[in-house]
Amino acid sequence: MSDDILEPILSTHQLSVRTREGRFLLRDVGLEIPRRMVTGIIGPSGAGKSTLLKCLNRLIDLSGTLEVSGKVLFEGEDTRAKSVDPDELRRRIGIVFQQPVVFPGSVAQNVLFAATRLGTANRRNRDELLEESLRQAGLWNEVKDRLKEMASTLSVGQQQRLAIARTLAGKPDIILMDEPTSSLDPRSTESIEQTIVELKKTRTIVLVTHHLEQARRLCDWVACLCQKEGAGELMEADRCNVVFCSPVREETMEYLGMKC
Amino acid sequence: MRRLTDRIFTLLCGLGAFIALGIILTVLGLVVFRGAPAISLRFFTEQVRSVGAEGGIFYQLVGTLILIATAAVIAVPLAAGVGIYHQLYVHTPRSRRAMDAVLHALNGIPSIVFGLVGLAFFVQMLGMKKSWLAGGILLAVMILPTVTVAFIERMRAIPKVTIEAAYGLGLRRPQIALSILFPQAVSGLVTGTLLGLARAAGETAPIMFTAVIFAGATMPKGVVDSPVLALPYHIFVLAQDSFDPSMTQKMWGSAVVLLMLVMGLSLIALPLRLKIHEEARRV
Repeated sequence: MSDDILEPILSTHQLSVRTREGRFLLRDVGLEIPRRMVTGIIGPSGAGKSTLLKCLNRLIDLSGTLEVSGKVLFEGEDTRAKSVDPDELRRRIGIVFQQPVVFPGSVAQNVLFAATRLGTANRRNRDELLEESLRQAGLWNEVKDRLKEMASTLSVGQQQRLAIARTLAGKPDIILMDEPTSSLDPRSTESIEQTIVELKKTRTIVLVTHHLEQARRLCDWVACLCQKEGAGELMEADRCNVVFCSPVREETMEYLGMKC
Repeated sequence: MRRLTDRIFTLLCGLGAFIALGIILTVLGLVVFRGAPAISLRFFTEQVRSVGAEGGIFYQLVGTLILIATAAVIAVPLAAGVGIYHQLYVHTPRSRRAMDAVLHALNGIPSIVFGLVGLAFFVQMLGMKKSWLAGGILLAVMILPTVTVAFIERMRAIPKVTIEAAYGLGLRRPQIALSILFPQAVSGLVTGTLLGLARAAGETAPIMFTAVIFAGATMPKGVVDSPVLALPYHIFVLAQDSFDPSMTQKMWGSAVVLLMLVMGLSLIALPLRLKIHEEARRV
């Protein structure tokens, strides 16, 4: 990556993930995520994009079958240090999944699901936090009269924005997004993309995407992962236009469909 | 040829179903036919008299309910704890498989062995003599796998991504247990408990050495040396000693009541089981 990133909020150093049998899923990934920008992670299927994402907030620990080595630094602190509380880390580095996840309950209950349990929301700021989160997720106007309705009655696109609002209510510093629009129609995709553009003014976003055009539209920085000898490796990471217009690695060119 | 094979297969399946249903109906019919004449309101409200030849089964019914209620009170929180531990704290597939194997092995222990262990531990080692609490604890241990497995199965039906999303929001494991697992899997816990209690209510072996006597007990007044009466043991003793026709009739009457109790618990569990299957299919 170019050396003009000052103080990345998140970085990985020689990050590897392997199975108990010794098969590498990710190998020696060194990546810097700049603050308040959208960093896109692109690459072919099986390159370890989602695995990398789950390493960033230690969601990978739940697998029980994968071993992680190397370092992930969040604000300069090793996220795997004993002093780090993984639950607090996950609150600060929120995640939105490919399929929208809706908890049983109303729209309002969903947005405040974690906030009420983690103490971020209380009686005084509850309504304010609800509206703020839904506005930031670009959903307020559509659901302001349906707050008490079951969240499952929303469309899939709205459910995905609801998941973003729920993550935002926890006041995270970073939001990880794992192909958030892959199951959505073009109109919902556009809404989510607008939300991402708005969110990057105040938050750092890491976006895993298969859509190269989406990465071009949204990302300030892009990291390209490719599979080498069965394991995902970082090919290059740089400003979006640099990766898309003048990639250095042959594998990146091949993935982007450029002739070498 | 294919049509013939199809017909033979249909016939064999139908025959199997007919035989199974026939056996169940015969058993039910026989018990109800023989026991129905003994059933009256007084049969439920009176104490046993004349060594079972007269009176009713009031304290046998009360004793059975005390035993299964005790078993439920002990087994439910234990099963909930084991189930939550299995789902949230055991991460490696190998550890989960080991836990599953232990639960299934526990389920396969013959009830008479529970009775003997109870005799050695509660009666002889702890000196409790016969006690409703010892019987309740034994029945709880006996039904623990049934309740736990039903709870775990229901939790498994919750999409993995839902739990992952809860972790992703920064929730702690107790919060995930209380806000996601319990509300969505409580029906499994209830179903398992009802099925387990239906089994426990009909067991004689675990309680005969540890908790019940044939006559002379009313309501328990303490924990140590405080036996109760129970329907399965009552039937067991009457069946051994019944040469008197009135005694035989009381025995069959008691069997009808026990059967209704067991079937009642199973029937209450049925709609919940169907709901679980329906929900699991929708996921």
